[in-house]
Amino acid sequence: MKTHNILLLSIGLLCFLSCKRVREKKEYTRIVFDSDSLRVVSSAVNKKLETMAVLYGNNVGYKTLIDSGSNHRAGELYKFVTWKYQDNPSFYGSKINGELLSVETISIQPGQGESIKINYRVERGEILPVNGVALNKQERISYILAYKPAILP
Amino acid sequence: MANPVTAGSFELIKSIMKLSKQHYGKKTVVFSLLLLIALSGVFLQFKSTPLEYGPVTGKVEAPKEIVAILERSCFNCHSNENDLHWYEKIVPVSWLVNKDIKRAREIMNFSEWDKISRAEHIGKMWAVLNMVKADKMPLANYRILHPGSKVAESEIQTIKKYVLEITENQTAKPGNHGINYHETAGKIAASKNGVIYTDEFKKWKAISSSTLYENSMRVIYGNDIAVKAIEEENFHPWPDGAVVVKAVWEQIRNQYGEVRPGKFINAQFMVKDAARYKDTEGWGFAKFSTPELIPTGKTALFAAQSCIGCHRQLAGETGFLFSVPLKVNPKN
Repeated sequence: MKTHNILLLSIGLLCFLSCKRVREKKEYTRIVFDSDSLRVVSSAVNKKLETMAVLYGNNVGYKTLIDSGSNHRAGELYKFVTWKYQDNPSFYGSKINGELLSVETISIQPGQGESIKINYRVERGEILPVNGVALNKQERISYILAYKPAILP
Repeated sequence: MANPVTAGSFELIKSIMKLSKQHYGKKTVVFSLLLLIALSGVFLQFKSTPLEYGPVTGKVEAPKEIVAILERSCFNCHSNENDLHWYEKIVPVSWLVNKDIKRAREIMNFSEWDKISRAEHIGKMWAVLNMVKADKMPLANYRILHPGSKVAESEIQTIKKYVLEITENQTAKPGNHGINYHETAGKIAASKNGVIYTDEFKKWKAISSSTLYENSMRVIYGNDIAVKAIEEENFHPWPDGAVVVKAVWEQIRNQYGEVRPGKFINAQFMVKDAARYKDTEGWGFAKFSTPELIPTGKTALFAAQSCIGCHRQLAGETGFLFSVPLKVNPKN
């Protein structure tokens, strides 16, 4: 019986120590999203969901969104990155992006004849609803491609 | 290893003391030295420049409970109405006090409130709130000699309530954005301190995005040197050549209930050049406003007189930048 108790105690202690070690091992980092050669198209803040998003696009995509936003063509590439936001710890009154929630990619390729093929992929995370409504794939593509580039001098 | 010059001087003083003691006796030497110090002190009182009290051109306008807090805790440095202790007017203490007051007045002067715009008043009050909230103001060494100056928690709440009240455009207006879009590449503008506007930043990576006071939204871009510094946490100091640009827009609400960038407000630059920008912790600040890119600052000293105050006190941990991405994402 005594041996049994010692054994249980040892296992408990081992679990406690290993859990503690796992907790200590969790390290955090600062992420600068690697947009590769894509440039910032625009951004959005959703105060209900407490999220911020940045839309990136390549030059073809950027130009299309400026020109019309509807006449899409092969070669357009976009990434839509969503973050949870939080209070900036250095300055009360400012919110800043925090945890990275999701990354979506849209690429447009030539289809049959003169048509185009729009590919949509969730690269990371889960997509949150827009205005309380979960969008299907086609709606999500329309939502992202409806962005207009932010005005810059 | 001892400095040979210092060691030499020390030896010389020792020799003079020894000789003096031999000729005049220990008591006489000590008395003469004290007399010399006292006379030098009196002489310096007449030679030193006293603190200048400029006129009150326009006192801060706020509810009386806010003015009372500012008068008690801030006015002694951040105004032209300074009520100093007698010993703060005596050299050498006055040298330190006068230097601090001069710098404080440059950053924020509650006696010259009329010299800045309504938008700047609001920005300054947010700075006050942040400084007292982070317990950075009044300065710790000032509080030792002025224990009554500490801002109480209840007073911080009073300031917070007031600041939120005066902040306009709390709710983004509905509207379209991107209409009449035009982008003129290659626009040129220069700040008085030599920071040049470049539209190269449009191709840089976004290091973060943010909002301020619920009425503007920002995307912060960093060049390759800045991005590398963030990834390596190389903030103390940031490497020369790092450039961070914050593009600021008004908030516009869209049909999805989201907020998106509307009218362009300004682009704020921070350029790291330790040798050139010694007064502002090595950072060259610039703000180019409106699509015409009008630079802020009438002289090259504008950043030392405004920007660096908050950056120095509140963002020291990240090398004086507010918009460094937070360390909240798990590794891998």
